[in-house]
Amino acid sequence: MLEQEEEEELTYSLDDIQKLLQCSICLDRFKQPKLLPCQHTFCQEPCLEGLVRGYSLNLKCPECRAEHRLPYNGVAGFPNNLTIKSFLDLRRKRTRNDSGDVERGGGAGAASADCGQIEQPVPSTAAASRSGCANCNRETFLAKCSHCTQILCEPCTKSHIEQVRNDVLRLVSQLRRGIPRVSNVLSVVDDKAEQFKQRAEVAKADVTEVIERFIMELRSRQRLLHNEIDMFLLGEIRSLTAHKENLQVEIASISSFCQTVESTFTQPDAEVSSDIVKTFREQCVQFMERVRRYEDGSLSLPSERSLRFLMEENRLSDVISNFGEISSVAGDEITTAQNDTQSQEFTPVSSHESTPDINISRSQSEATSSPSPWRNNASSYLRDEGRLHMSSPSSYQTPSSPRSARSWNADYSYPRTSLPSATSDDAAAPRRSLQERRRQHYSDSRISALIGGRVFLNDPQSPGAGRRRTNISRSFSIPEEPYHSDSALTLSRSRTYTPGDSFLENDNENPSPIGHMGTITRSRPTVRFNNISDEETDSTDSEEMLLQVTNFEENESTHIANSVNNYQSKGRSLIRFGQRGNDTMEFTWPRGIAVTREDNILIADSSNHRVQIFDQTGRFLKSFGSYGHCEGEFDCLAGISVNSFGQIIIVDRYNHRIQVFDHHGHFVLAFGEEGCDHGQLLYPWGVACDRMGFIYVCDKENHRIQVFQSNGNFVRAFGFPGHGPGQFENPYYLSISPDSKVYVTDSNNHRIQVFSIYGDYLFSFGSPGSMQGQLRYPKGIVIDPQGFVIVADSGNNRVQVFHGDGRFNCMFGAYGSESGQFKGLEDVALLSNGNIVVSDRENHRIQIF
Amino acid sequence: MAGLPRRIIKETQRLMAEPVPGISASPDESNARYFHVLVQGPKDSPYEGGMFKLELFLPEEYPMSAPKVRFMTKIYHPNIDKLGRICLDILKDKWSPALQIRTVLLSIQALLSAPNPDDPLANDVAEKWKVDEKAAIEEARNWTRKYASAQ
Repeated sequence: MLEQEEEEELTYSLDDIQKLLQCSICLDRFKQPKLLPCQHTFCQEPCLEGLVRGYSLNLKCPECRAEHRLPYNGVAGFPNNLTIKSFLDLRRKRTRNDSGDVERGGGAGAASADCGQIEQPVPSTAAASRSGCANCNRETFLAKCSHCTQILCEPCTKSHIEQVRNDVLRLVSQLRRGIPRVSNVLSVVDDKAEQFKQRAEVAKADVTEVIERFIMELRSRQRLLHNEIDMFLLGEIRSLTAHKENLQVEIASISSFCQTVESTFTQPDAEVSSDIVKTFREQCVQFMERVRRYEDGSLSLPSERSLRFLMEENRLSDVISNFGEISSVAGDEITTAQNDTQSQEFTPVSSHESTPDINISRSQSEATSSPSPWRNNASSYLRDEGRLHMSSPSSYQTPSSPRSARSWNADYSYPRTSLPSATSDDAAAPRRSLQERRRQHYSDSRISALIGGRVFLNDPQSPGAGRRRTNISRSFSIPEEPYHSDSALTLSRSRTYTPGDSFLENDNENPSPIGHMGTITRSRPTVRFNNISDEETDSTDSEEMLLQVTNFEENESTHIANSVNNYQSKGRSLIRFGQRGNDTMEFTWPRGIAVTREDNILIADSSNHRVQIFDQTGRFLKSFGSYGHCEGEFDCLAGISVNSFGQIIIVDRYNHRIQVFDHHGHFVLAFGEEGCDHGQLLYPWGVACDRMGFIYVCDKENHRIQVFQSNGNFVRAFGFPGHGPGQFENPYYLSISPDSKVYVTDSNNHRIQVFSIYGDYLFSFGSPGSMQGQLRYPKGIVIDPQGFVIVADSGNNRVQVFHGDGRFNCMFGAYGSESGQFKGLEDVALLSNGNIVVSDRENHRIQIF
Repeated sequence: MAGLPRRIIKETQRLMAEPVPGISASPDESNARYFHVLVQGPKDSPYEGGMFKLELFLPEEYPMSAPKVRFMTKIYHPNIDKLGRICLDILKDKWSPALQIRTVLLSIQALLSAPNPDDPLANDVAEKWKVDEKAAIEEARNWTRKYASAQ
């Protein structure tokens, strides 16, 4: 019974192994098992050999039909299947070793029936445990192994135990090998501790540095305030001295009068005429009058101006007590924490596997990710905090006084204390969260940037408003570099020293400050250099943006149906001049056009590398420039613009630079070079200037707009390659509207994009196509005083006129070389009489409509 | 008969020892390469209830080339012609030496279950099958009754 069961078991297990060792072609045990790349195994001979037909280079696997390339030396070149081979070998060995035991083992007769050899089946442990020694099957004295369930005879137990011992030894040696790993971890932990110490040191140093810096700033603030007080004192003393002198003069004149009268009367021989007596008496009365006025105080002393140190102590100490935060971040990545709440917290890190980083997160505006925003932030606090507030009786405010109390007020009173309508928010809730305030400022300054000039001019009584805007823009556009904040500091300091001149010195780049008074106080910010963070602001504040979009789009042209300049009736060219050539009055690819204040037309005669100047009737005046890369030389100039001082700004396209000329065409300066960094240009094209002389350049191949000061200093860049809002695909030309918006022809995106002068995306219009209002490779653009936008729709060979908000107004022009037709028009410009000048590039001519 | 390959012997032994359900194959007494095959019509097919006689011959190159199989019983099937020749890829280009007699016969049985009129051998039958499958199936049933009913 038992025998029977065992036999079945053995047969079965043998069958399995047999199957595995059987070639599926010959259905026999493998002979030279060869492994194909598809992992199927067959005998080399005759099976695989038989598969190869003729001179075929390929072999198809009989199992999976995968095609394999035959090795160079035929099927023998396939690798041997070593596993199968060792199986085969194993079985042979057993056959030899255990040949004596075959009968007793109760082996698998059935299984071996079909093979020629006598084969001992591999004993299965499961079967063996039932009877006899599990190892040798001899039924001698059996004992249960102490460590496993096997029942073994004595010699086998010994060897088994030996085996177990070896196992244990092996494990021990493995353990030994493992020890270094643990100690490695130990050293890592040590390293970590060291790292922590270092980080802590660094963090401490950071804290110290920052705090020191603040102390410095407080110190400088202290100096500043002291200086202000000194200045005030000086002024007061000076006026008192003057008063004193007046009084002394008064006393002297009175006493000399008395003396004169006395001496006249006391002179014995003198005959005093009644006239003289009468005069004396009148003079006496006069003097008496004056003396009496001093007595009853009606001739007042210079009024006492009180001097107080105003500050919100709590606010600053709040800031200080909540300032800074120690945060620990798991992982090496330091996220720039954006914390408005400024809570103090330190999370200890217990896990030694993570690598926490201690970083000092700085309270910073959501708008910026600049490296040290909080310092600037706080320094603006410092600046704002504790302003000197001087109040004086109004009687003293005489316009003649160069240091009138009003101008003092204008500079020193923080708007919160004294401002009209616009500031009511802040006045009402001075302690709003930082973020909220900033947001408020942000939108305020946006609007003020757009309407600022006008508002301020209409409201000259509130100089504080202007001052406030300065503050605002500073506080929300935090400069990246420390020196910027310094410059802001010096700016405010210098204002402090010469308060009456503050308008002038803020406007050092503008030679006609009076004419631009309004715009200046809109604070064309010397501090607003960082543009990237502003753009981020855009995205974070997009919701707000949407709410305000309607505001952005509005200007005069939005509200009126018909322009002053009658665009509807344009379409017939009034004047045409030029043809291909390089003589005067001839052009080779005319590109940019600009109109001077004298209504002369400047043409960038691109491939003649010169500028030609005509009067508004097309009469040639002069030309300047030649090919080259020195000063005053061009290599395929493109855009051209005239700024408010009459300077000519020319884009020297292939020299990747901007050149500035005076209105006579004499070279002034050049800036820019080939590259992608800030201030570098790559095939720049169009150029425009705003009223303050800032130069906006279409950096065409960098797909961005760059803004420079009129002296060529880089101010900011905005835009990235792409098709989304605020992204460009080869911006060609741009123009600045009277309400200070920047209209850019985003040529390869076939649209016009509109930005604030700070580069904040406002809206865009135009889509690819040739219908009304659609654009194809728009190039030149100009905006009339009412805000109508004239676009050179180059790919459609027409000029289109839009309202300032992008609504289509009218269009004219078609393809051709007749009058009023264009071939690849490039730029447009406006004469003061409303005529449109168009550079008709491929006709090499200029047309005026 | 010089040396019947071990493979054929093994296959034969296995076919005898573990017959495939519904299929019987026995070598001819005089030719070990010639097999008499009986295939039951598969269930749920028009051939259900029929018993189909086939002949199978293992050529000299076997297993490197495919066995030759033919229906001896008349059958109405789009892939089997009047002469009983079978259109089955593994009997032609898709033959593989890893296939065996039993797998071939199983494939034939499967072909009865799933006729493939798009790859026809008997054009008229295939046409009928495509145009009016119901009638074709009925016809196949008739044929089964007529020619393949037990003995």
